[in-house]
Amino acid sequence: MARLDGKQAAQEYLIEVAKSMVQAVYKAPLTTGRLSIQTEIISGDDLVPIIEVMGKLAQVSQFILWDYMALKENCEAGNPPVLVLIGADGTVSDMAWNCGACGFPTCKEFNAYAKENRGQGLASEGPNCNWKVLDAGIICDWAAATAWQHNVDNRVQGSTGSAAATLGYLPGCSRILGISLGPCKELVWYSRDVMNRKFSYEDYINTMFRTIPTNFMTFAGGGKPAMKTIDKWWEENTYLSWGTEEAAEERLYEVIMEISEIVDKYGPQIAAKYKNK
Amino acid sequence: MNKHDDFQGREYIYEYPPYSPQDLRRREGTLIAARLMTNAALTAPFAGGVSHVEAELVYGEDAQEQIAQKIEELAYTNKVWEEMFKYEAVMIRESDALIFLGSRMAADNALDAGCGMCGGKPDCSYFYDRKNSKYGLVDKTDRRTETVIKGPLCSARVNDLGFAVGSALWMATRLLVDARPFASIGMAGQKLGYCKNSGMVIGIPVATLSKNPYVDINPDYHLINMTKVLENSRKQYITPRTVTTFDYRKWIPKRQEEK
Repeated sequence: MARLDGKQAAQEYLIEVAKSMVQAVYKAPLTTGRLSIQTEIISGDDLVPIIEVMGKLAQVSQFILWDYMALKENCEAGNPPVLVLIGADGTVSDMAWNCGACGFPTCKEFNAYAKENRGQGLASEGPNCNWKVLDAGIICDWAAATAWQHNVDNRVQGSTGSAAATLGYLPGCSRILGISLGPCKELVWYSRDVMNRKFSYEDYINTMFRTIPTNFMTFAGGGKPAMKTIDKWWEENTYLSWGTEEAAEERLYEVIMEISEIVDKYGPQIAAKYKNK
Repeated sequence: MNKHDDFQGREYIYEYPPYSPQDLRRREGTLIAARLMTNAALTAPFAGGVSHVEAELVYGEDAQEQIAQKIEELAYTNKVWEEMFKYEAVMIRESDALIFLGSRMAADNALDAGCGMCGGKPDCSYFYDRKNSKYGLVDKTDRRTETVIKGPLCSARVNDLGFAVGSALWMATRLLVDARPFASIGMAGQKLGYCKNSGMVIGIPVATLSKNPYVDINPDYHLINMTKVLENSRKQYITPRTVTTFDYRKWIPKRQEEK
């Protein structure tokens, strides 16, 4: 009689759940019925390049910092998630619906524009046909729902998808989302207890001051409301102002350069697999 | 007498004839499923977490007929839609209910994250350059458009709408209810004012018939379908009767050996 360690078995079974998610992707009902889909399941050491790229992006984006830290901490604790990559190419509208959702009166004009202007945004390539984008949403939702029905915590992420796209995963796909799957425990990707004590109260409240300043504003009738950034806010007036932040733009440029070094390191090895196909 | 002392019931349920009491009891069940599908859609994830998907549940012969006719109208505006939309109009008539899901933000309240999905640039210029806007606030009062949908749309919002549609469809499969996402129903519904705040609308017809009405479709489905066949059978049967008369009380024709 075989004896299996339950936790280890559950961890190993993540790959099976990931396969089941991918099956759901291909089975999902679509509006166009003609979405070009690619999927890949990444686990173990193959997560390292993705974590490295996210580590760089984390320096300029808070939501990527959150995903990066949760991913890294879980891996370091010996509970790595499995990453399911779901990609689709939405840059060609082959339906000739001429619906106008993209802003062009015909698909032909959109296709011509998209061919000339294909480029990279912060989380996706584009331009994309909105019906293809919608279908890409459906397939991703079905993958996440499959994981949920298997009782595995998961989260659809632009962050892991972008990092994978940057490294050259799923070539030809304009839209790649990652779904971090597991590890097998409660609330890995929501609430995220691995993040406990990583940030101070001041870190959180400063984020709130920056992101929802209207919540902390004084009487606006004077035309220049002060910010209530301390308890006895009337004793020290602080104000919001706006302007360009050149340092932040320079930092973004540096990060892009650093990421390209990581891509040079791992890119050829990742690309090789697609060449052999 | 207490509340549950006379708790008893007997409900005969069958799908035929359409809209008969036994069929309406069946449709009640579909509506429960459709409501759960709608709720599932609203639990789907959104980029940035903010909800912007609105839903509308529509059922009944008159409403479904109006939507079917609007789809037929759209069918003739685009050659590639013609056959497909005419077929889908039949499916709308055969459905038990329709769910509309739309994004309230896709047309005028972008995610503003520079994701690149709409225009392939690390900013939102593709969207805003084609909109009438000030300080990133979109003025959508000019509703003139030569296309069915007035684009461009924030594709991140459209992607979210896909999540919502996916969750509704997922719930349908769990409940063994037939449903599919249709562009035709969405566009017709949007034109008729369903999900009135939305820049893009998807329609999901729902049915619990023995035969899934959205698959296994024969050619010329707008001419050859259950309703048409039944109507023509009625026509064909009644006409020959008018020329085969006798007084059944006095004489009924018999085969030779039965005489």
